[in-house]
Amino acid sequence: MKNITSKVLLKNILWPLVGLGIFLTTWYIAASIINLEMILPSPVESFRRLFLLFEKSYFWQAVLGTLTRSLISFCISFVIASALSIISFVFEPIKKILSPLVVLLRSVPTMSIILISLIWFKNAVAPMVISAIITFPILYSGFSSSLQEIDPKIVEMSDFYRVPFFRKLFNLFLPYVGPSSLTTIQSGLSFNVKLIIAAEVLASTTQSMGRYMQVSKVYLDTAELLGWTIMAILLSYFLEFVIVVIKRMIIRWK
Amino acid sequence: MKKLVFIVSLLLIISIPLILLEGCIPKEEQSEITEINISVPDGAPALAIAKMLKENSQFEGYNISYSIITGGSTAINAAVNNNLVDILIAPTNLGAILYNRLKGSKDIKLIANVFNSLLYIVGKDSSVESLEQLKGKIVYTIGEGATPDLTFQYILDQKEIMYRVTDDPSDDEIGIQYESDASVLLPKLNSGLVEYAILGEPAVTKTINSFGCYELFSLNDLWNEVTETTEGFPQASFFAIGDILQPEHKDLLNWFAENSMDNVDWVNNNPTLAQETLEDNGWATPVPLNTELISRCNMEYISAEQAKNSITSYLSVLFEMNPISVGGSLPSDDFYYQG
Repeated sequence: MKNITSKVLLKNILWPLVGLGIFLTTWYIAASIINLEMILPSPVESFRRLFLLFEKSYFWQAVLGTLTRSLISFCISFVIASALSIISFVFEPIKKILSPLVVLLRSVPTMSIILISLIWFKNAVAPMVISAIITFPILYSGFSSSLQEIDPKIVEMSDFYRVPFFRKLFNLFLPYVGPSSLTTIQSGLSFNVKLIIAAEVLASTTQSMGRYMQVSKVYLDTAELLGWTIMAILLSYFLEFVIVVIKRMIIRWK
Repeated sequence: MKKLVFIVSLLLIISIPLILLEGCIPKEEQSEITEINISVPDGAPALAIAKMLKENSQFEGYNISYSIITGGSTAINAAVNNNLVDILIAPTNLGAILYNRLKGSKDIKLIANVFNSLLYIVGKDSSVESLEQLKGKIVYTIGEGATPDLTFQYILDQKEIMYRVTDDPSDDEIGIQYESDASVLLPKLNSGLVEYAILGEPAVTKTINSFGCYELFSLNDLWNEVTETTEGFPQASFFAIGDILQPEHKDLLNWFAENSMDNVDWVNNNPTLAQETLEDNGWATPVPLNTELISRCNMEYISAEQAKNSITSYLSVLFEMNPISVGGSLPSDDFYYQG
């Protein structure tokens, strides 16, 4: 028994740590070869700057702002995508009507959406609009394909017995598509954080991580820029971790 | 495990020759002709080399190329880091930042101040005559953490006007909001989403000509008012970087200074010609040059020695507001080129 746990420990914790170690060592060596903080600061310096930021209240306001914006825009995108994917699963014509729009949204260059939104919206709103628009087709396609996995015979049967729509939704669709949708949500959410930050940089949004990253770029303060970057990575990890926990809970509950 | 050892050793084998090679590549032989690159950012700074671009001015023993770089301060930094430029125009404080950041690896010196502030507050309400009247309003500005932002905050501090970064200011304070650049701010000014904005030339002229905006304040005038000076603040300067600062290139720098001084008069006398020249060289500024615009640019070539006082006091102000805005410490005397 003890042997098994130590093996699991080795597999799940030790090897990833080795990977991280190789990455940090390479970074450290590269930084000491270049030896110019403006180009590549050492990991030690970057983490030191991150810890210094921890003491600043504007840091937490910015992180909270970015987190809030990510969650709001993700929720908007999520609600629209899940509603439309279920409706188009139930009514075939809607699916056909939506298909060119989804393809269009998926192929519009991200930068075009960003640049146009910057002109149209206030700089607190623009990042949310941008990432909601860009995340939507990803979520929609993910949800649609998990709905396809439902056994059509069960759907047929429920149609035959005239099961009301909302009962179908909660007792058939959601339990079926829940776990695989969560994988879509997991990748969509951290993608969303990245998009929000990119848009914040360009929009100079007040109380945002992107804005401070932009300012540290203006001051050629690369160490601080990497400090903010590390925080952005931690934020994405944290959100993915929350989803993983939810996923485990659902599987256990099932 | 064997695989891992194999991969790691493979990586090492590949990387060692790369590292060694760098030291072994022979330095280019000292040829008779020295290549010199002179670059200026797009927008008003390009005016400072218009005449040289037009005449493709050359100095004996050198092959000088002139270029206009688009992409703002990021592009300037990239050009400096990749050794693509010997003389350039940059915001004066960015030069100080580069001086501090590059210490020990590359020399950078300020050779002259070329532009005093070319920043203005514009708006559609021409009745605004004092900054006090902007209380309760939002002023949008470009260049967060850079010259427009810092000088405006300094002026407000000195005038004891309260301000805050917010889109919902109360009646006794000015709200400040940021936009990444003029191209985003201009459509919002046009549509009325933005009422007041701090912009640099030539965007200022664009708003006056096309959107019915008025020039409400010149940051130069406000600066003079609060500092009790008459010179304005030295917004952008010429910098020389690297080998060109060696004594043997002294004649070249003197020649460049003379040409730059001639250029100021030439641009003032030949606005149309200047515009044609710049447009042929990739100037992406859709505003017709006129004497009004040129005079708002406050272009004047003042050598480092003469400009040193106004530059040090300007940099000290920025330093007091936020030390990082000049790179953490005030540059010492060797920052100023002595011809």
